[in-house]
Amino acid sequence: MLIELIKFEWHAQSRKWSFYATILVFFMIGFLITAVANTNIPNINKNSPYMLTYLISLLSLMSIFSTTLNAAQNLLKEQETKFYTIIYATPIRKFAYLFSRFLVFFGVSVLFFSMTVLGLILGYQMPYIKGEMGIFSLWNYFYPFFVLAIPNIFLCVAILCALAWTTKNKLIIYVGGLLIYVLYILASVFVKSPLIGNISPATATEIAFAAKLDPFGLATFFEQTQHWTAHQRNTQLISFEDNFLINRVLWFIIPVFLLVASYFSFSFENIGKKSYSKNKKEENSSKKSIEKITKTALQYQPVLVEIHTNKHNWATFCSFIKLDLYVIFREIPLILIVLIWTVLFGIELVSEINGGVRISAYFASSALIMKVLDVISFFALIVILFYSNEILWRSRNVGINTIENTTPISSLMMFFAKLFSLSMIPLILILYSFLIGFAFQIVYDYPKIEITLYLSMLYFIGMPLVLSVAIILAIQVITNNKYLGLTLAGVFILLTNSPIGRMIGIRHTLFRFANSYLPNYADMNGFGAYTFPFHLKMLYSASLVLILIIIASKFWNKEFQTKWKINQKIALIACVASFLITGSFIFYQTNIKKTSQTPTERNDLAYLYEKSYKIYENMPQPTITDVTTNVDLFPSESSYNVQGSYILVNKTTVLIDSILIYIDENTQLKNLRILDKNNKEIAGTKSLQNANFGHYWYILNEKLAPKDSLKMLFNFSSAWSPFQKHISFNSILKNGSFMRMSRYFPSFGYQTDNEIADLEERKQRQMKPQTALKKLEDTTNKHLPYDYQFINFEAIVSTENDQTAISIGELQRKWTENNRNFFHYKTSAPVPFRFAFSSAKYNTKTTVHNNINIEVYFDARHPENVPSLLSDAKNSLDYLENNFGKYPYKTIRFVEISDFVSGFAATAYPTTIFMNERLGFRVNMTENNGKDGNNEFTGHELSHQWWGNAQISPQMREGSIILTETLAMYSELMIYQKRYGKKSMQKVIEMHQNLYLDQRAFSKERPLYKAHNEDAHIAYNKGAVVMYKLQEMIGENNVNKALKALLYNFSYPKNPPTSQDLLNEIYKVSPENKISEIKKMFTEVEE
Amino acid sequence: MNLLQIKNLKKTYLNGVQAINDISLEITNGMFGLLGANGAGKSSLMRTIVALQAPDSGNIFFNGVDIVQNLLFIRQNVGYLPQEFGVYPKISAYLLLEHLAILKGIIDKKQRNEQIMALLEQTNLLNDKNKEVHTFSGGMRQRFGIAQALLGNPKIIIVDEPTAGLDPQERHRFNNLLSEIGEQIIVILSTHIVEDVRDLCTNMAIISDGKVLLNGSPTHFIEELQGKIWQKNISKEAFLSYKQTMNVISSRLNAGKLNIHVYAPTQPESGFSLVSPDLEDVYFSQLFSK
Repeated sequence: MLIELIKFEWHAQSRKWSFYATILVFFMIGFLITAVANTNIPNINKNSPYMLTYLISLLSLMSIFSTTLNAAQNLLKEQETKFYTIIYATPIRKFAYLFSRFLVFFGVSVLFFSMTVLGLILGYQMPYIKGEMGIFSLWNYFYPFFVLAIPNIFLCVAILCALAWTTKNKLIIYVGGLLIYVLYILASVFVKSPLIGNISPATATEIAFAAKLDPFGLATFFEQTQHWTAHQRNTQLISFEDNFLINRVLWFIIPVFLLVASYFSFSFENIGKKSYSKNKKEENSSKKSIEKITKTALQYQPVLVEIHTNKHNWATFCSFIKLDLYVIFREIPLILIVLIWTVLFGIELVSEINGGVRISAYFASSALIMKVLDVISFFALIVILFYSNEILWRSRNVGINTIENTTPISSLMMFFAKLFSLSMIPLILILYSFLIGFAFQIVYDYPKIEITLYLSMLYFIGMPLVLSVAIILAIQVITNNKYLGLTLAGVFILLTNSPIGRMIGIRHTLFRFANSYLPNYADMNGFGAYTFPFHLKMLYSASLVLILIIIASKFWNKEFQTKWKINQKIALIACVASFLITGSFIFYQTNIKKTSQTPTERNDLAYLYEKSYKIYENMPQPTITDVTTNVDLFPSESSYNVQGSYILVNKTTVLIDSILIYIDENTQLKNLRILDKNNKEIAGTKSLQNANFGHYWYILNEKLAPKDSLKMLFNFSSAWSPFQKHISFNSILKNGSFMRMSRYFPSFGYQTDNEIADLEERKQRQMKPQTALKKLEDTTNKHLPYDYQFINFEAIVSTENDQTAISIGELQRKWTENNRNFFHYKTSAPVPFRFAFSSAKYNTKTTVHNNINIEVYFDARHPENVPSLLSDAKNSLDYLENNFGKYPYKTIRFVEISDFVSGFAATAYPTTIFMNERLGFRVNMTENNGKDGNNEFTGHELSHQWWGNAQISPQMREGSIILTETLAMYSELMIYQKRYGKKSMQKVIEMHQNLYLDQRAFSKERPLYKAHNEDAHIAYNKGAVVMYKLQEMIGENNVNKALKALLYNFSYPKNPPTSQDLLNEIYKVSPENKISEIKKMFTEVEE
Repeated sequence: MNLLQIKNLKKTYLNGVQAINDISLEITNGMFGLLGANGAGKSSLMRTIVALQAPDSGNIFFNGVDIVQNLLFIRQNVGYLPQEFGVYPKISAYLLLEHLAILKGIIDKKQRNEQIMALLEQTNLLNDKNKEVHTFSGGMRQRFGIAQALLGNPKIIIVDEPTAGLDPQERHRFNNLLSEIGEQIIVILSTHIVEDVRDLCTNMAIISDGKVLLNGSPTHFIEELQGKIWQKNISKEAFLSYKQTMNVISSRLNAGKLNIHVYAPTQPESGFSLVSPDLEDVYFSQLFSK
């Protein structure tokens, strides 16, 4: 009998066209992902066992959705078609019945997913696949399919079957799907995307915990492979041991247990049983009163009705809502959803607040809670999808549609009522999350509850969700088929709102329905200028939704082809017009106003650039010696203007006849003049060779002799549009701006940075390798005085009247003029050509220590860490001055900037250190669990005033990065150790060791003393470990002696050191017997 | 006086079943019975009248208004009790009636309440008004069904097989209710139970294969058959030969013997006796007489 039932079940599933459509979709996903997924990781083959396991396990998550849909459609079909009375009356045995159903469900789900794997296999054989490919091996596909995908599918199927059998409630099946998804999310919260080097990654125990518990085994996979080298990743499959073994066994036993338990709870009897019994009594009593019919007190009278008036429409609208909400709020699924969300949101919050290995903990500020609340979007979308089907077809499902549809209602009112009821789900989840947020703020002792910020989220998070509700409903109405409509709506949401859509190429904002432009919320400037595009995008999406609703209203009653009424036509035209206007405005702003280039176009341009300009690489050019500038910042307009002048000196030994000027693409040059020493315009021709490359030629009629100088005057402006992304280092924001403006000032000569750096890309374009980094051993010009190209810098910067503008150097004067604040900065000694500005509404706190002014500029809402910052600064200064020599300036400033600026926690300039608000000022120092990121950042950045900036400023060559970064890491560690002792230090060292091991798989391993600038994990993390070991071997004092000697012998204006010079200084203070080991640490690569 | 005119109505479903095959009828106030076997096309006709589906061709006019052109008009005036209907779970009878009353356009809260209470009383559901409808027994549910059909100001009530599955007592009660209503407005009752039509209807039509076989007053049809229906008790084995030679319109087992009715102007054979015909004989003579 089992065989017959299986055959029957299989037949029932496979005869539907949707079965074949699903097969096709699964295949295409696998096939397409090979072409579009960005799986290019240096040194790792696209079809390496590592990549394939990663892809297959990630894709197996799709099964959550497909199995949930399948389960909702098939597992309760007897009940839905009321066929159960017949089926259950037949002598089918429970075992055969349930087992056959389970087997076919599982089999079909595996079949579907195997199509994706087939798609991957074929996709990677296609000739258009670029990138590094290894040898084809079927086993590399099958192994992860067997050990990851199939168990994952089994888990989904088992949970869904168990839920269906025990509860026999379809909404619970949907909730089950959601639960599985949340289980996965929870596990991944702990792991924090291990592919990206995180500023504060998870600790080892967290990872091991997640590795055991992740139901999909992804965390386990990452745990086992995190320290693998590239070679291992290319050749080795994940092995069945340790946590992976535990994980897979655990997640096999749990579903089996669930299946068995639900099998015993299942019974044929209690389906469809109605509670007649309790009515029997009333039935009897009513029989007695049968005679009363004719002599009723209340006589039935027809009542006049009014239809299609505002009153009737409104009453209809409310009545439907009342009934729908009655169901939503009285049934168990919503309670389960709220519970699941509480757990998910709570864990996300705890995880966010707890920072990770480096940051101790963040303040539970309203902004942090709002940032985490963003998770709700996708969660709510899934809930909405499932509820939409139930709510929309409710009348049809229960069978009252034949009555309701003969009433004179406006179907549009019914639609809007469904829209309203369904929108209540996300809105109520959001409001409920506010309560959780309040609770967290109070429990975590940060009760500054910004209620307006909370409320604004109803719009910023709620609005896109409400629009999604509307489009999900409209799609289902137009499809007019329960499961097809749900599937289409689900696919639509998946493509336009999830990373999967982005992965397969649906990236343009116009295609990302109701998906916002919003970046992470920053405390200093909120969503900044991005709110305008957000409003526009909402208008655009709302227009689309309305168009679909108007069309959907035509499908409400398919039987009668109603004519278009005039007001419907007008509404439709208005919506289409609004859709087109907003859409084209967005398109204009995104694609036309500033042409956005595809990566290929950018590479084509870079290719042409190198081809036509590389010849000028070594052309003699003048050197900038003085920069004087007036900078006007307009934070609320996202723009700034610059007037500047350079003094240019010919420091070469030959005549210079032409100047090749380079202007960054984010700079609009307005004017550029070149004057001679006497401020007279000199004859010359300026030509725009090719604006695409940002170059201008200036041909001097009178050549510039060696040591002679010129003056260059220029002015330019820079601005960004929120329709494009802001550029992190050029962030002119409403509050908390930061611009590394030296990047956007004119510069001279060929720009090596604009070449194609990607090795694979160069290979394909048959380009020669880039000019190699100068070798460490290269001694050319070693004995000539080195040209540091330092400048004297002077700036008058103005900003809006409630803000303070900060730059580098000493503040000469500040004043207010024309309702703007002016600040005059000037460096007291030459500095590298590297300067920045910031502007914000600042509070300040200053102190004097060792005759140095320590100033902190911070947001009024973030005063908590200022005292510890000041004391860290004092301690650091003490250590650095005691061991390495005087601090070279009168002032040191710590300046808070917006979280919009990414790429660093803090960055050091002469006299000024800019710190990211979130990583410096939002950290909760009272909760420090042996971690103090702020102390580390402060020590590190301050020490750059010795190692970097104007003291040690090494020439670009192999190993020069260790002279700044590795030495700053060393200083950081020593300052930290002084404050927290050896024991905490051990933990930090361990963390750096792990960070180094994590990263080295993705790049070529070079010895420390020859590290390149891009080898951050070597210079920072390995460097820290090696330097720490060194001071353990030869003593801290000796190391400091060596470093002090390095400074004495090689700091500006003396010729700069190389990493070999550092080693030599270290050897000098080391005992003979340890030198060979020290040498090994710096110059060899350990496997 | 209300008037429903059906002219040359045709409807064929996508699967090829011709459910309505050129039906023309005129119906005025009073109870109108639609008699026919299962699948004869009664429900299709009713669904078309209440505009749940559109006819392929032909017209339906209610009080002179073409309902296909003006869906709202019929919806404003119709009360419909489908053959099968479901209800929202966990919603009480009163709440559900209130919901449907609003949909039908009774905006005034007081009026609505009065009418619902009156209907509940009349359908004898007053004591159960706060019970969830999905827990109702078959009879209660049908009474609830007629209550909702009467909401508002219906000028035409259409009830599809309302008494199927009810016990005799329930059926009796239900029929009483219908006949009370049927005095002022049109009530169309479809059924395959001949007795119901005989008890209640002033006019009727017999439908088979989507066509109207007979249309008129039941008493008139019975009179017409006076003296033409003969009955005899025969053995089961003999049935076939009777069937071949005579116009047998019905047969019924009676204490082990087969009682047959034969349509004939004169006594067909000795042993046959005249019976006074009833509506059932009209129905069967239409369906089965040669």
